Formats: sequence, structure tokens, C-alpha cells
Amino acid sequence: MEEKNLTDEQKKFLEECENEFKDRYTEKEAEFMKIKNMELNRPPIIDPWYSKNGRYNNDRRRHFNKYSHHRHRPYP
Amino acid sequence: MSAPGIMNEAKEKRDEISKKEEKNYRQNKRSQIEEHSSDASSSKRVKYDAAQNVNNTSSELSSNNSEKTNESLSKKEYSDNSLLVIQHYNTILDDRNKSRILYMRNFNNWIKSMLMSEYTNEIYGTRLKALDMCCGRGGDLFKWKKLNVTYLICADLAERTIQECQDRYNEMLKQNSAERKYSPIFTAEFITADCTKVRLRSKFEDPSIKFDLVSCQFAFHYCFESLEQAECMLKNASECLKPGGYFIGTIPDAYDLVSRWQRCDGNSFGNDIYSVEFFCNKTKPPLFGAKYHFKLGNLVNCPEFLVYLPVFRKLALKFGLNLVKFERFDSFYERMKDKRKGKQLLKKIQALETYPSRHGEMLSGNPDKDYQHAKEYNTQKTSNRREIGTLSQPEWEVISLYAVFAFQKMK
Repeated sequence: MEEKNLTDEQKKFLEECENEFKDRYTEKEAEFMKIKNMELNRPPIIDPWYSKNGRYNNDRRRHFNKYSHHRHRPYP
Repeated sequence: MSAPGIMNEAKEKRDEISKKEEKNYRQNKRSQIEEHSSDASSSKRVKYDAAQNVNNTSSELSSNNSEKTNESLSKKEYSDNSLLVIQHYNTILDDRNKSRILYMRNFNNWIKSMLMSEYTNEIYGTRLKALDMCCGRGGDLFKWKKLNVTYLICADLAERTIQECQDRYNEMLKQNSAERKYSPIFTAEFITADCTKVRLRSKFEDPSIKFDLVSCQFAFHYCFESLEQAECMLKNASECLKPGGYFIGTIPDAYDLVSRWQRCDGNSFGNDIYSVEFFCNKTKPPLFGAKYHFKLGNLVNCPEFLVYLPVFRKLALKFGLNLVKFERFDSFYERMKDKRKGKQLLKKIQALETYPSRHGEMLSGNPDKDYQHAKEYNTQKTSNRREIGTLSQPEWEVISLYAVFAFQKMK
């Protein structure tokens, strides 16, 4: 990390953080350990799943929506 | 064969042809819809595309592009990393639908849509103004339209992607007027700038603009290269945000990344579709510049940096931003999946994959090992319906690395 161009305020902030978070990613950090000890849960499952049907219905609805009489229909 | 028989045959053929045409038309239309709803907002997305097209990318093409990039980047404002990011943008080719990570991308889009709509609902008032930092090729334009935003500013560091984003927006405008929609589409402004190094405000048409929402999807972690860059990014996010407005985004959860890192022996880990390699001190990663490479597919990608949440929160506070939500993708999904909009959108954008695959289709992952959870679930089931929506294990391992965040601008 480059620290040469930092202002005093930035240096102070970094120092503060280094002190405050010196136990980062260790057993002393409770929030971190919570994630580390967490088991990866399984991928989502949605049941029942009608993905394609849903889309088909959507398309149909689009053809018969309330504005459909505005559509340009040159042929009877 | 008798004459009526021939005629019948001819008629059948004609019917068959017209059915085929109709099917083709539908497929085209569908892919257009997917194109619009798909995500391009991030360098992450760039990776996805680049990863899947790695075989198609001719070296000639990429070298031409990088030359162009170098030309357009004569300004010294770009660092090596930004250059890398831009080069990745340039390796994008199309034909994404056969991708191994199609559903992962769709799922990420679902997360973004839900996040954006959750926080626009929190805002009172109708004429919403928003800033999309690191907008990429404009994959979120359609989402902004759906949210009824009236004014949008898109910023990204690569000229070419901003151009694409603008083209996409113009296409949307054209389509909107062709469809004779009664509500006009939002007005947009496009800015080429590195949000981690340049003050965006000075580039706005109206520097006194006040946003209701600022979004930075799958990109904020690039600014944690250094304190200066992080400050610049947060300043850009906060400066023009209305009091009470939100700064939202998605980033990898550093705790999870480091957990996985500590669990492995060396400095890299991953699965069939992703790998991460760290380039910093393992026992005590620095607060800024904790560098790692995130690789999806065969492509080495631009460096990313750990965003240590307590520092992020503390630094944001200096810019008047108060952390109101940090939630990992898996729990965000659990919370949103049963809401009406969430439920509909999951199906509409195919954020999950149908398992088992339908007749004539292939699963995106390895059917023997990537869907054990779904197999188990189906064997325990009593009902006859076998089709469920799910994601392959390797994709889920990547998705669950990420988290959403939301900050509120203090009054």
C-alpha cells in the first residue's frame, strides 16, 4: 500500500483503523468467526416450478391486453 | 397418390414451415427480452462474458482492441488496474445463452432488481433521480426503467462500454416510442470517468443535482485498492445524495473470502467454474490493497480487493453515510423469494434452472455431481411433479460469496 501521498488526516484514519481492527479475520473477531463456522447452505429450491409456462402466459397476455385494439392490423 | 392427398401433404408442409417460423420468431423475441433484462453493469459481468467466450476470442481481435484502448487512454488518470478492467471489457463477445453460468447471471440480476426496488420503495416522491456508478454496458437500464426513474446518470471508466450503454439507451428510447407507451422513458446522461479517481460532480450537466438513489453493482470492491480511491468513490456516492437517500450495491463478502482462504493450504481455492488467488499477507491482510484475482472460467481477471466491512462502515460514516443493511445473497434471497414481485421475477428472468432438464435440453452443470441437493430433494418428494427450480452447486458456491449493502445518507 502506498502511503507516501497521504494527508495527515488519512494517516490518522489508517492508524486508528489498524488499532481498532488489529484482530481482523482471527478467532478474536466474533463476526468473522460466525461466517467461518457457518456451513454453506444448499442451493435454493423452488417447488413447484413452472418457469417456461409462466413466460408463455405472459406473452399471451401481452397480445390481449387492454390496448390491443390499438394495434395496427392491416389484414382482416 | 391422389390429388387431394398431395394437396394435403403440401398443406401440412406449409403448416410445418409456418410453425417453424413462428417458433423462430418467438425465440428471437425471447432472446431480445433476455438481452434487455440481462446484466452488464459490472466488471463482474465482463468476466462472465469473457470467461465464456474465451474460446471464441481471437487473439487478433483482442490485440486490436487493446491498442485502441491504449490510444484512448492517453490521459494519465488510469492506473494499470483500470487498464486491465478496460481490456476485459473489450474481450466481450456475444452468444451468452449457452453459458455455464447463465443461471448464475440471471440470479444476480434478480438480486439486483430486488435490491433496487426495495430501496426505491423506501423513498417517498415520484420523480426519482439516480446515479449508476460503474454501469458497464448498461445492463441495469431496463431495471431503472421498470423502477420509473425519471433521471439517470451512468458513469463508467471505459469509453467503449459507456458508448455501448448509450446505444442501448437509444435503442430503448426508440422501442419505447414505437410501442406508443404513455409514460416517457427516463432522461439519461453518460459520463466516462474512473469513479475511484475523478470527482464525478464536476462532470454532471447540473452539478447541483440531488439523487434519491446511488447504485454501484459488483464494482465497489475495486476501490479498496487504497484509502484515497475508497474515499473518492464514497465521496462520489455521497456528495449528491439527498438526505434520506440510499447508496446501494453488491460486493463479495470479505469474511467469506478469507474464511475459504484460511480453510485451504495455499493461497488459492475454487471449483469448476471459479477460482480465487490471493496476493497478500494471509495472517493479517491489509485493510486496503488486500489483493486477489477472481477467475471465472479460464480467464485471469482484473485484481480485486477485500472490502473489510468495519472499515467500509467507518469510512462511509465520514461521508455522512450510515450502514443500514449488509446481507449475504443467500439470506437476501430467503427474505425476498416469497414476496410477490420476487416470486414472479424469479420465473420471468429464469433466475433458477429447471431440474431435471426438460426433454431435449441439457443441464448447465454436470448432471452427476452438481445437482445432488436437487436429486435428494426429489427422491424425498411424494407428489408426482418432478420439475423444480434450482441452481448447480458450483454456481451457488460463487453466488453465496456475495452480499448486498445499503447506506442511508444522514440528515
